[in-house]
Amino acid sequence: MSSHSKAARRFVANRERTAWHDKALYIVRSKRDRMAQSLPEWEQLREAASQIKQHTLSHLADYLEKFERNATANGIVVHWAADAAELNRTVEDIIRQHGGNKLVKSKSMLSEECELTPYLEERGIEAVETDLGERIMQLMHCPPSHIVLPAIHVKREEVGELFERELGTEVGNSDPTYLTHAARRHLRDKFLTADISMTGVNFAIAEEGAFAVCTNEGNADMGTSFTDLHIAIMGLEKVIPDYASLGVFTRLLARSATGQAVTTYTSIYRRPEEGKQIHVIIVDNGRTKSLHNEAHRNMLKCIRCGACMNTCPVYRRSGGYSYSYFIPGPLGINLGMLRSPEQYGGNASGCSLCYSCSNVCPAKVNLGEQIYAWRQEMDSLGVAAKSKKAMVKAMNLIMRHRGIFYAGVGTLPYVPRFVYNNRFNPWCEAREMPHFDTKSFNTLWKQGKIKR
Amino acid sequence: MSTREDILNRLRNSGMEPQPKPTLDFERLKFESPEEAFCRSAELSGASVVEWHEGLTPEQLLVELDVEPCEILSALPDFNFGRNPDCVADYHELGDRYTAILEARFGVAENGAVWLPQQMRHKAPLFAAERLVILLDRTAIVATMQDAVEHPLFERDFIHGCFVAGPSKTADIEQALVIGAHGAMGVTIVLK
Repeated sequence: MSSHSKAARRFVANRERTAWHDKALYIVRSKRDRMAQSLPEWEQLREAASQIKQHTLSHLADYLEKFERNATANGIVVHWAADAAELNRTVEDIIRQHGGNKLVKSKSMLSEECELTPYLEERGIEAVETDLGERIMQLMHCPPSHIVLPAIHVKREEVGELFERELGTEVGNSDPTYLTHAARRHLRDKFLTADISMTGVNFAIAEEGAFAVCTNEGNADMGTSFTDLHIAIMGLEKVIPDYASLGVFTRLLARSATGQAVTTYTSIYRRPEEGKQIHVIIVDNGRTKSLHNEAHRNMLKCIRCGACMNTCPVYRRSGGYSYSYFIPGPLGINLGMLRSPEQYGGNASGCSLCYSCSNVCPAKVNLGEQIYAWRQEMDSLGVAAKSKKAMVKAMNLIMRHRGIFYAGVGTLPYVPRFVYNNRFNPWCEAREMPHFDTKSFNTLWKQGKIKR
Repeated sequence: MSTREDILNRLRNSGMEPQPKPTLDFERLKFESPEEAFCRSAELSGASVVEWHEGLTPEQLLVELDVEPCEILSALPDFNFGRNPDCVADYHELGDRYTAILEARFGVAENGAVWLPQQMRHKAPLFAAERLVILLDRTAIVATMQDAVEHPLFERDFIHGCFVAGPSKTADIEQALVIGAHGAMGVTIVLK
């Protein structure tokens, strides 16, 4: 049994909660559908986004150099990091040179990927997540279970209890408005006393040396407004050519992510304010390797909207924690395989190959097709499940030999149930094997009992 | 070799064929009345839209908007009643009980966003204000974000610029929409 199925067992044990999780995400998916259907040029936008990304990826070195040149001319300091360790070290160095130990963070998948927050905390730098969902997860000491909706699996009563303990809110009050405004006051204090702010980068605009950060809460903007040092970290695939490209992506991002026409704030940083600093760190951490992988380089087109998760029937019913990679769903399965098939190969079975993810992806990343391709590669990568391999070998033997096949078909209806329905057959864990008739189709056909 | 050179070299040796840049010449969404579409979208984003009727003085407008002059923070000459953000010594000390009045360059009909390039010395009040009142010329409304980035008023040289669509919001607790996460609790667009 795969690591995904094993972990999902815990999640699906609570049927009511599974149904609630499924429904909550399906509502987000439905909102996305309404948005997509309201734009006549939706498919052309997706195609444009895909082509812009293809074009950029095929000229990535040039665009990154252009971004660096123009950003530097605007007064932004650009750094490069080969891997997580170099990113973390670079962030620490910048902070040490500037001084201060209070950092406010907006959501960044890259920082999760590089485990930047624990790195900084260990070195005496307080790193406070300021996106409400991320803050809830940080106070719970748990990772996010979704890239856009980090606390989608948490019930309001649980947030209420958490805030009672951590923020001193009223006992038993789990009203979302009340709790959100309590978090607002708590984090407002953090913003006003912070020394350093950190954001991700949604789009780095090469032509302008500027970058865009999109949020609904305004937390990234609050952080960068009240601190003198802004550190922005970006995966090297985040660069786009120009503002015309930004126009395309901002039409797709929020519509795909949450079903809004646009995020509340689309902040474009171009120059530091007087007396302030902006540092951008461009991070590789395996991305150049992914670009070399022809079958899977499409993953670098992803804009991290999360639409593939919201639509995924497996993700919706198994939750983010069932995946061993820190990003769940179709996106996480693929990124995990690119990171390490040995470590994350167990996620690849968490897919029904419905390809809905490929159909909703705003950048036309062929997520489902790539999961299928990975499954074909599992054996050569040495990560195929032993039981499945044995089963395929046995099936191969049976299917190649008429005698064995028909003997099997003839015997199956008389085999007692316990022989196949036992703990060695994971298929039967939550479902029955189909009933086998004593007369096979072949027999019935020969007896003329099948009407054309 | 430095990290930078190393990364650039690896990117140049990816073996990926150069792909053409798309022309983006497909037909875009258009509105019969961009103004009406903008108002609809802005209200969906949680903002309210009012009209600045002819003959109404700024003082009278403020009464209509229920804004106390002393709560105002604005650098606009018409609204020089409260504090001027550029004269505030330390914006950390501003608190959050004020209404910032700003002027947008243009609006976007498809999503109700307005373009606000930085007009103050510090951008902080745009995000920290409890309420935003944003003036918008009703003739300066484009259809889509693609039109927005091509607009002559989407200037190239700014410190920071922001498309703002309605008040700050979140749905991180059980997907229940809550207005006022970190930024403005309310946004009023005043059409001129």
